Amino acid sequence: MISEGQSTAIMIRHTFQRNRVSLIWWSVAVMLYTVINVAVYPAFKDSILLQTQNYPQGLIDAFGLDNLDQLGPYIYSQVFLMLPLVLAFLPVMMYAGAFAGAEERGALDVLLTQPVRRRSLVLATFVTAVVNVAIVLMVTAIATWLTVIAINEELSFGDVMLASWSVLPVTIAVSSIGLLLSTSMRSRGPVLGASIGIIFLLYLIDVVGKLAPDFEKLRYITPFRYFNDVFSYDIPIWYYLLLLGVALVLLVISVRIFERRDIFT
Amino acid sequence: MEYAIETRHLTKTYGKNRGIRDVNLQIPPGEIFGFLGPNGAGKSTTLRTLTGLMKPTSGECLIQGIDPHRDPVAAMAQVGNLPTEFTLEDRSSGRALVDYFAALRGVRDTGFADEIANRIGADLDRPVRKLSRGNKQKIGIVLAMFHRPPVIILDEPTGGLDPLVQEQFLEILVDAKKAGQTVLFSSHVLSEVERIADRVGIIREGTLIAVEDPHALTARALRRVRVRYPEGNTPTQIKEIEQLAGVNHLSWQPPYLSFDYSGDANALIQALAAHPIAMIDIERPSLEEIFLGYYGNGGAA
Repeated sequence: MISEGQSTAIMIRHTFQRNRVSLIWWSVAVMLYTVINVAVYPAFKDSILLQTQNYPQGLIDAFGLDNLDQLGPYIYSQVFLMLPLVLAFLPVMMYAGAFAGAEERGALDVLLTQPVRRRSLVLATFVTAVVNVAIVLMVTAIATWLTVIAINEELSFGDVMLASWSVLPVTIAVSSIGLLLSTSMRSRGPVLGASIGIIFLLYLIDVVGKLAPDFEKLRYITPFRYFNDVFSYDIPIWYYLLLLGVALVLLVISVRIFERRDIFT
Repeated sequence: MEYAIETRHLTKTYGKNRGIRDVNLQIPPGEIFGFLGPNGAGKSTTLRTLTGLMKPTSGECLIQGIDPHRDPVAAMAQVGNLPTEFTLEDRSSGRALVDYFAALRGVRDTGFADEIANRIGADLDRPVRKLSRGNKQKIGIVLAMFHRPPVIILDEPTGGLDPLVQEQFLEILVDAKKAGQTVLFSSHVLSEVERIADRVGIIREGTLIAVEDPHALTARALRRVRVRYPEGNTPTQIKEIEQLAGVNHLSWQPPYLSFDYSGDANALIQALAAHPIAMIDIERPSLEEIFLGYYGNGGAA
């Protein structure tokens, strides 16, 4: 009999291999989106500030439209601001397929009657999802930096990497809602619907909170509040730790639920 | 450890009127135990509770002396399982899945997987998505048995297999028994249980109503008998047949005499032999009919 650590490592490797095609498509799609948005920057940089300077401050805050004449804030508003929302679907789909979808299809019956712990499966899927998001972000950072060089602009590789990596904690935090639902529910469709709905709602709360001061306090409940433009602001390290903490708490709750519940087909 | 599989007052309730109640099973090592019951009787619930997929409401179950709910890893290391409705990863081949599960089990030699695959004609090298239902079932059988587990649990294992493959598969189970492995398999097909099982448990509406020798079960089971008499001949012994113990629903519609029979075969043959007959047709009943004939509607012997 192998150790729990070994079986978790085997499941991580297997899950990674199973999702590699999806990872390639995600990387290509996000890379193309990034390259196109950065490549058009020279055409907009002289006029973009004029277009946005009359916008309400709340709108500028909500969509990161300040300092758009500088490349860093421009990249943040056009690429990184939306990236957590978009990229969260990569792990959510993985979780929905690995738990609720697998239970619905009867695939969990086969896997969970191997000598493995349920928590190992949850952990392996979570780790693989984090690694997949990290790989897409790495590809995004490299594509961004190469495009910046191609358009003869200046932005340090370190800043681009920092901006890219700043997306990881918030993406992991919000997508962990999908992990919680996937390990609690028995059907992939409702898990995807509920996860996407909740993540959009949290994003909406953040946007509304920025636009309307009366709702500002509501923003404290949404992980998106703790994500901002690293090119323009110093983001406190505890923001990142808080987001990772939320992800870990949701991971632990997911494990507890998944270990205790019946598996149906 | 006296038993390879044991359940003590195992109860699992869920939904409305579903589940199992107070199931007590003792299956010694090296036995093939058939688990019979109509659909929805509680066979799968019992097996899913035994394999740790469902938690019992009360009672306990042990596999090789290990509680699968307290130590699932140690318990499942002893088990090969084939669920009734399962899906395998579509893009993977059977061989990739054997390798994956072998790695999780710490098994290095997967040669036995090829041996089983050859015997039942399973194609381990094609992606699962390109296989028919029967061929996926064969891959499932390979995955349940390739590591020579001490305990093999199979839920409706012959579903989707053609008769020749079923025959091969039943022989594999007999070989497993000879090697000292314990087999617990559920079915609603009486003939396959009768052929290989040492004992059979009958479950109905969540309750284990009997555990006995499968041949005794079928010998005492109800059969539908239809006798055709030569044209113009009216049998003289209809009353005699009607009075035989175990005869029910007798009807005479010339030239056919039809009745249900659950009594002694010799007594029936003797009664029929008193008059020439043109043809006799004895139909094996369905499992549900056996229950009705054997236990009556109340389900008690």
